[in-house]
Amino acid sequence: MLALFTYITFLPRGGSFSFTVLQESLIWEEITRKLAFYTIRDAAGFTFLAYLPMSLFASIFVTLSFAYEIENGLMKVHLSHPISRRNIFLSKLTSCFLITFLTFSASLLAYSFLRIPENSLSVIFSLDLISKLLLLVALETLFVTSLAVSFSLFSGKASVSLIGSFATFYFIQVLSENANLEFLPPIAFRNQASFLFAFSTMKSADVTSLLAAPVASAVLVLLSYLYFSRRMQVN
Amino acid sequence: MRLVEVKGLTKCYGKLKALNKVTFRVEGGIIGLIGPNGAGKSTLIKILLGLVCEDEGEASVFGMDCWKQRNKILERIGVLHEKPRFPSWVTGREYLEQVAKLKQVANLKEEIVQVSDKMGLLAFIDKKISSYSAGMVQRLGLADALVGKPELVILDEPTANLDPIGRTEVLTMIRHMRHEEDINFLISTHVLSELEKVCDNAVILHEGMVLAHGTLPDLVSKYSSPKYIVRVNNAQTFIKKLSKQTRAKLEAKDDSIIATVEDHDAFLTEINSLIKRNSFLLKELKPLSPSLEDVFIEVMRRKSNEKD
Repeated sequence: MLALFTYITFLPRGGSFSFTVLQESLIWEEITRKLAFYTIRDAAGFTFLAYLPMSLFASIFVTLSFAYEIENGLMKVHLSHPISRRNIFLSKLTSCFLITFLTFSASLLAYSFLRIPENSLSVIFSLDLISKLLLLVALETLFVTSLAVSFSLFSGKASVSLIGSFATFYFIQVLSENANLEFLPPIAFRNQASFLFAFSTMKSADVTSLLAAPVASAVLVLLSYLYFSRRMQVN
Repeated sequence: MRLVEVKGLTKCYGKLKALNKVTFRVEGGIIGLIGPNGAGKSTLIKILLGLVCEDEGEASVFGMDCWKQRNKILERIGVLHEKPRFPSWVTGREYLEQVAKLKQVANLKEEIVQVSDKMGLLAFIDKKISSYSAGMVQRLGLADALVGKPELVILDEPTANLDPIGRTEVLTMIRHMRHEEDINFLISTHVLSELEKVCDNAVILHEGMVLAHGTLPDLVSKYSSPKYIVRVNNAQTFIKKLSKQTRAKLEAKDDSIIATVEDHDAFLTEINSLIKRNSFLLKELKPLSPSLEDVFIEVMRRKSNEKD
């Protein structure tokens, strides 16, 4: 993901599309492409289309995968077989991440392209566009999944995990938008989208906004992993 | 190498001391873990499986630390938890296949058929676990524990939810596997009458402490007094007269008398003289083998006397 992020970041900005098209159609293609960019950027950063539904989705799957199994005794059975705790943690985390990521990638792509005129689909269906959207969705998914996993493991209760994690996501969203805290989602995700789609340039103050969520996600995943593999006791 | 060794094991849950300086060791065989509810049996099992870490002391299985080397231990043991849970969306066969793969069983399909047949699972092995009754889930749990022919099988209430025929089958299977395949068992159960049919050793726990442990013959000789069953033609009169002249503890049961004696010879002499003096007709006089339940009751009685 880091390699993909680096590659996309250092791609030439603002319209260096190597199409061999007639001069008179260039303006139409550029307009269409910009429309696609705006739409995708807004979709990925849109609170009620991406962030909150994704948070709820991730909370449900993570709760079912971790806290519910701890509570109902299934985790005890898993841990009584010769499989390392690391493998159990990583496989559950990956499956929760992938389910959320694939669902929202598909739905956001569909939402974005539904707004584009049909005869322009072939113009805007580029690897550049789709990979940027997928990267955005991946970063958002990682954030919501990591926070939900932390809640799930440290509470060990399905009800606390589900309600607590979703309430936290909602609280973060309210705090971010009302207090204009740019390093918190969903504003952080909108800034990431703007940066990736080349509608803003990198300033030093933006680094926090761009990197806070991914760094927080990484820290949460690491803490959860260490707790699950070395400290967690299953009664 | 000792099969299970526990030294000074202590585990607390807040203010509750689930285990308090528990120490014992077993070399092998079928070991019974006995105790009332809340004695600490399940906590001990969880520590041996590396699910829970002890606060003080040491616990080892096959000479390996239970917390630090739990993966290596789990490769060599099978487990049935009390009220086991399984993923409900797969069939029994699919679940056992996954377990067999984790245990790196060579002939996977054959092993599953063999184990399922032993546990009476073949008829519903291909149905989803969500459709299983409590008894079928228990049988699946036993099959799970036995896949891969482990060196030690830990069973927590193995006969729960099974009908009487099922219970007998499980106990027979445990005895058979011990003798034929040299598999060791650690069984935690409340049903002492079943446990004494199979176990060689027992560990008696109460309030987190070991009250007694050892082989069954040692425990019986140490903790139970000899008993006799006496049947005469007039039990009520006999028991009244006998109680005046003997120190044995007498208990009337239907038309029999169960006598718990301290001195064999004195008791037999007393019986003999009573019968001759009063012309009772002696129908039966034979010694009774003390049961594990008798041992357990006596251990608990001595413990409560110590407290007083």
